[in-house]
Amino acid sequence: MAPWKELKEMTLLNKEVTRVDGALKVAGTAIYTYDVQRPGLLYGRILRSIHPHAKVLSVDTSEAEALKGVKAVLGKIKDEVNFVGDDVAAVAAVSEEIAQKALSLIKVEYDVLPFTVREQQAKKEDAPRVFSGRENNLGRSNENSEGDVEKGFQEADAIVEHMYHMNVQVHTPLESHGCVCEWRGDDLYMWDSTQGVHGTRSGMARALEIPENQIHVITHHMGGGFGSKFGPKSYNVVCARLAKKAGVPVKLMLDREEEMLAVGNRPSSWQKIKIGAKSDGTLTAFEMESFGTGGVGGGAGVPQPYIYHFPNWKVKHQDVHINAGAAEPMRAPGHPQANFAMESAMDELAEKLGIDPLEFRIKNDPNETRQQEYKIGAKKCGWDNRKPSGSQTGEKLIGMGVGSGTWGGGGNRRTEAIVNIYPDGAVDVKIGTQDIGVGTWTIVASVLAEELELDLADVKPFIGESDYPWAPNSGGSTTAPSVTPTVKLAAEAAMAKLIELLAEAYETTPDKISYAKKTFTLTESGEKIPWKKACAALDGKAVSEKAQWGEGLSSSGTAGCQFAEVEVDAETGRVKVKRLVAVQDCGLVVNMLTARSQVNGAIIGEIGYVLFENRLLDNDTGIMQNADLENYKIPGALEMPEFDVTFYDEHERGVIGLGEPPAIPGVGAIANAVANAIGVRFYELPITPDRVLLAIDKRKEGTS
Amino acid sequence: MKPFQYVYPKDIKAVPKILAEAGQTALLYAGGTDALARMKEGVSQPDVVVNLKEISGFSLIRSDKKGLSIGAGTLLADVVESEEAQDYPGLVEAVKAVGTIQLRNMGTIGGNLCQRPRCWYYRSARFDCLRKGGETCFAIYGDNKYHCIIGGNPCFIVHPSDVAPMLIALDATIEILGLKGSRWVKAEEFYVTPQQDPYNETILKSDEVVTSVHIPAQAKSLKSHYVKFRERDSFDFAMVSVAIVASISDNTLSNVRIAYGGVAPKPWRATRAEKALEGTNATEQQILDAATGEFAQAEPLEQNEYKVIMAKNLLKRAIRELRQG
Repeated sequence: MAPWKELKEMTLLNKEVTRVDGALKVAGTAIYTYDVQRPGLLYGRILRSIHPHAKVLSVDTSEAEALKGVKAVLGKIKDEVNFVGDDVAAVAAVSEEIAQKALSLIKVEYDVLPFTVREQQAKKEDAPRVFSGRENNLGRSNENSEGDVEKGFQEADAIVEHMYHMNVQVHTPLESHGCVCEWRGDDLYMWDSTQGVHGTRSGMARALEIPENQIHVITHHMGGGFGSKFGPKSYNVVCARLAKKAGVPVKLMLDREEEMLAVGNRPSSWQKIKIGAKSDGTLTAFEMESFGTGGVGGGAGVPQPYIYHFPNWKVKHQDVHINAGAAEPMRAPGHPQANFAMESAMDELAEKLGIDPLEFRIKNDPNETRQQEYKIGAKKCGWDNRKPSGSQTGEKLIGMGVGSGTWGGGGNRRTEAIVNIYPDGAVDVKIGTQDIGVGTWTIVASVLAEELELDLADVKPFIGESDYPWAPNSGGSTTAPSVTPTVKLAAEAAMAKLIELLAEAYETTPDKISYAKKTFTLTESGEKIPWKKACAALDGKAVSEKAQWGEGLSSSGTAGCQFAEVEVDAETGRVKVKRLVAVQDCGLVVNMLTARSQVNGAIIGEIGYVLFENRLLDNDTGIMQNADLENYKIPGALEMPEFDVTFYDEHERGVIGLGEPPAIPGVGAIANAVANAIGVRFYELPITPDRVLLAIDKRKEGTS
Repeated sequence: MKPFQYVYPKDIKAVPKILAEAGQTALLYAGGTDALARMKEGVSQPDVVVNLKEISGFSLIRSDKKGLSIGAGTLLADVVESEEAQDYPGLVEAVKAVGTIQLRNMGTIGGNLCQRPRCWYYRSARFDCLRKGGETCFAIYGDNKYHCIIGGNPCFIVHPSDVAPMLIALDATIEILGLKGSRWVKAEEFYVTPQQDPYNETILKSDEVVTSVHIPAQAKSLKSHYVKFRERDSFDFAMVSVAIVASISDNTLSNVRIAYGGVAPKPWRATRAEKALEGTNATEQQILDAATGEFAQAEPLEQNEYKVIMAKNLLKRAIRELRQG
């Protein structure tokens, strides 16, 4: 196994290579799940619970079945519904309108039960039960500690103690969840918007109780998932059953409201934090008691004490259920929550000690990469110009803040790929990964072309189908570090095989054949054999070599920091992120453009989390009242900052995933920048104009 | 969506009769940016949809000595770009503040004036709210950050129009056609409070349609300006907006007319503030006092106290910018 080439020898990797599927997307001809058309296609819709908690006593579908155009109906999907939007029944009809009409004809008899949508209430002993018959609403809990926290706080010269709160964020991919199911005999073909064609296949096999090799999952193009699309989900199973019942293909795409209610979100977080340091800035102790809700799911834990070194720390967490849709992993699960609380507390403690917040971090951050990144970022953002917190007056207040993050992002050793070289010189690679919108088509093709010293146009990637060799779900920032080494190794194996066959054809030995830039050279005679001629010499034999992921071409573990510059409008309370400086390590950058795009997208997500997004559940009805894109506010084009992205070069570590690392540091950085600008700190997200305006007003009153 | 009869008259005169025959179950459809969303959600379930797009002469902009006339079917985008409208800078600013370029390419002046509230309880078929004939305004005890601070009760919506406050400030009139013929009303009198009528935002009767608006010619000394604050610049309705018209000479304000958006169930003419500022230099303190007086009667709900502060600050901003502009 050869290592990656030297950077200077690379022609495609580490360069600004535009997307191989870019033209398709721009022309509108890339087929997304929504675009899949099949003969006789029906439209599926799911009837969803209007109650946050109820027993489903009966579901009468007779009228719906009698409606003209209705081809299949599934009655009573479950006996108890636990959130508004939970599955009740489903139909498939010749049009979406008829399917929708049919839903309105289904009569459901509910036994409506008490519910709770507030985690503070839900964790109490006397709270209504989220799941009938359970002892309480508590999910998983954990405790962990190191050193002696009490001693640590005794040593501290300054202590900061607060409750930090983040509400639930919803993934909001622009392409909603959905699939098209088609049965061909016993085999199910499913076009799905999923982050894992193989994971979805396995799950569908279990759910439908049929062999895995009867299921074929296809995801060629996707409009985002952010962690919410690790299938299969109930809509997949419902759609497959409807299609089976109807005997024709069914398309079931979720609408925006369903997307908001039923297919995932980032858990809330409440962190009671106490943090202490000595007057010289040395951290002495950290203590946290936290809870949070993933609705009927879990996963609200936070990785505290995050990235800083505390000799003494103690954490305790409790997941709490409420009657709301289940959480799903969302871009660096737990990390943005940990980051907001930790970075806020760090800043406040630094201020209390009279130490520059950046200096305070440098003193307490054991990570060597980040130590370098802090210097780069500080210079780029002009940290020296940062004014003391709350020192400004007037209409526009400028603030700067910093935050840091960490993530894993290593490769999966089970990943496999096949590289084929055909007698006519054509080359392709088959690997069952998927492009969730980040550029996987492009990096797969680039690695293959780079390794075989071909042009990008000479190779064809095949991805996004579960019939291709196994690759992991696109989650945990593992796709690039899983896929790129595997494709490289398969390409290496294919080249070795090609040379071996060529040696036979030319009656020599492989060690006497060299290769560079589409030309083989017989080293003894000096004869040059161009690529096509060489392939043709194989006497009709194609090369087909499979390889498994190997060590040494990728790593795990990233460090990053971000600096935010915000402008607060003191008259309206609006926070505008003017500039976001990101310094990020991800080992060998495979593609400069898609990598930058990853960081930009992550920053947009951070801005949404800190300044805009807020899932609102009505306390009296359990209904989400902003389940649309008007009132669930994600940032738009005019909310974008100037993006300033620097990759800290550690290419010698090989490829490391980048999807999640940059989605973390900006959360604390933006929040800290706001506090720096206005001199008031928020312990709750999002930091919206109403909150800012009241805070500024209150502060004015206090000083006048 | 409920099935409906679709009619598309060519002559505006046919509309009142169609409306009268259909009763309360007709829906006027111009740009559709609001109506279609309501129909999809099931908040509006008309039996008859009256498409106004094919009405001849419904879209027009005309300017003469008397002022500016705009047909109700005129696209918002056309107003922004029309030469005639440029004499009314505040109007152009207000129209430009509506939605996004895509929405302005679809939406009409008449539709903007007659659009229904954005209140999330009103907009969701899941809440049987007062405005839809139910018993409760859910905003009172619910999430009410975007709701009104003044003129509410028993319903706490805000009127979402950007154009309406400016028309009120410009002392515009609105032409309405009904079975009995046409009538003109002051823009200010076009809107009602929930106390007057909790189910409708305007005085339009079920047989009536808005046909045009007329803005009187403005004295040369008059300046107009619209300031809108929204959470996202990319796309949002106003949290608070303010339309102002005034003459400024020797730093003194006169002929002051002010109307707010986002604070009340109807575009809110701020007569107290107008009086307080008339003939003054409008110093920062005077503006603050004027706005404080205007909103002395405000009764913010649990989550919208900020709007009182914002309303004061935006008046300051509006006058500051009016001076500069």
